[in-house]
Amino acid sequence: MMPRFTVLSLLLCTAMFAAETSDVYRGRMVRTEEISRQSNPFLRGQFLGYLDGKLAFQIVMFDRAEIFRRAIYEKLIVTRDPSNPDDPGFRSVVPGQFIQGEPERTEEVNELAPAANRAFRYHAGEGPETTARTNDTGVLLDADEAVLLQLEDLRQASVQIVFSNQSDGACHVELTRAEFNNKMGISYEYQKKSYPKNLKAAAEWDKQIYKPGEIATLTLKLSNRGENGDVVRLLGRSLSRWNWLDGKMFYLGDLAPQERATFSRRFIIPDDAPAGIHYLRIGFNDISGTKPQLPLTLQIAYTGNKQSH
Amino acid sequence: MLSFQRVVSHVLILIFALVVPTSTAQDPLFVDGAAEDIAESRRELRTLIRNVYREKSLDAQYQLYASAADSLDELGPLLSADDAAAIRRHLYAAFQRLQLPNEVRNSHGMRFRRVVQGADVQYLSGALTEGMYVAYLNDRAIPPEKLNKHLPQPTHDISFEGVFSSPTPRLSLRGLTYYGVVGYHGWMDKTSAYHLPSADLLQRLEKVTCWASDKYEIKDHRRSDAVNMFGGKFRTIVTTGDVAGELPEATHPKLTTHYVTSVAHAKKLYLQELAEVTE
Repeated sequence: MMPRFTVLSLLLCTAMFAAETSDVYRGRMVRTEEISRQSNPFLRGQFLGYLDGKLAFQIVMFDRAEIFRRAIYEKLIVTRDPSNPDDPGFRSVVPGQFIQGEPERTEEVNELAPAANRAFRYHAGEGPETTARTNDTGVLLDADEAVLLQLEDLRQASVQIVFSNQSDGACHVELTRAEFNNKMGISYEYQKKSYPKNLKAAAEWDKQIYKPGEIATLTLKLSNRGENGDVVRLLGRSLSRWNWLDGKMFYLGDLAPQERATFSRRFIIPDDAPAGIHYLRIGFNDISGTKPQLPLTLQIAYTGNKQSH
Repeated sequence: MLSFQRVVSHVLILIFALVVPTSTAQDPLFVDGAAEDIAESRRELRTLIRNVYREKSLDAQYQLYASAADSLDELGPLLSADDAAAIRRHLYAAFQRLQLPNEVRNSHGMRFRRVVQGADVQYLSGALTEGMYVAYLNDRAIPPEKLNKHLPQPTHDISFEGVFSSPTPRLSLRGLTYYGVVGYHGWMDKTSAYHLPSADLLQRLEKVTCWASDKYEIKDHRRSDAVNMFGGKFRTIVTTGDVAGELPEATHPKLTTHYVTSVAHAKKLYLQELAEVTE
């Protein structure tokens, strides 16, 4: 008797359940789960301006992380009577069970640290490759004037500089003439009157006598001894018969009354340069249009080659 | 109706009327003594000018020319304008035909020698001496503190103790800047008779370093623009055959200063020399 009743009960239950349907749905998002993270370190450089008599760039290490994440949802079961379309159903969260969402890719760029105390190869435009080392704050000084060399031609609107080393990769810096002028304190936005008669100039070589193949550094010191309102805005350029002495720009910029400015340039003396005295002049051009003529005669004497000119 | 005789007489009268006035103008029938002298002098002057052509000796030719020129100066006011102009043309033609002296000297003691460059003949001076330059400095009374851009650098023998002096006045002055060359030239040459030699001429002369008269043009347009923008100017210098643009304040140890003058001026200088000798 008992077994028969049990079997009937089971059949009834089965018939009752067979009359309803259950579907599984995503419930509330519980959390997100990081599936994978791929690190892509890279370098970013920027032009800082004129520091310690040289053009300065700061190189900073960044990381562009490629991250795959997915959301985790509650598992929700909804039981409905299929014969009744208006049945909202019975919802129940299955405890301990979850549904995984689709993986999603995201990128994050994070500044890591300055690329401190690292050696970099770099070249500007089509110029030759040179090397320099960053300091503790990731600042690299263009001691070889590779960037200035590319800007000697005043029609050059911008220069592309590529810094690289084997461990950190490469970074490209596009330095436009406008940005360069801005950082060097040369502004074209407003006009100023110039009084070149108040401008005093002095030039100083780092040595008395040079030999062929050496590098001569010329430091130009200008002071505006004018009174109120006497502002000069100057670009200087070396003029000489000799190509290696000619065409070096001196970006002095605005010089307010009682202000001083200093700018240094390097001249690489060729191995076959003849011995003797060479002449050059620093011509000045006030960018507001006038030409204050303060030419300087700078003499270089060096030994080694007895050929005279 | 006119008879044959009357026609002949009219023709004769007409011929007489045409011929007589002409012959009167060429050879006046009635002249006083002064007019005879002038005519005689004019004939002599023409003969003198013809003799300039015929003379083979250089000095004699120049002396004849000088005599002719002096005669014309005296006679000129007495002649008609047309006559004077005609004789001047003859004299100028004779001047053109004067032989070329090999060497001439100007009033500053600068000697010029004849140099032939193709069809072009010029007179090139010897190197400017320290004595000549000192004379210029003393005449201009340039304060010593302003001499830096004129005097050769870094070594020179010219001293200043109230007046400039040089212990070696006959030696060639070396290393004069372009400013110095131009300064001396402006002082020496009041009639634009002298010029710096051309680079082409200097290149033909061996071992000469000198500022040249040619303008220096920078072939590279970018560099040329930049030089103009910054107020620069280069002058042509020839350094033992090598032509280059150099800043005007530059000095070179081997640089000497030379000038050139024309054939016409050289002839005038030779005439002056002869005049000085005969005086």
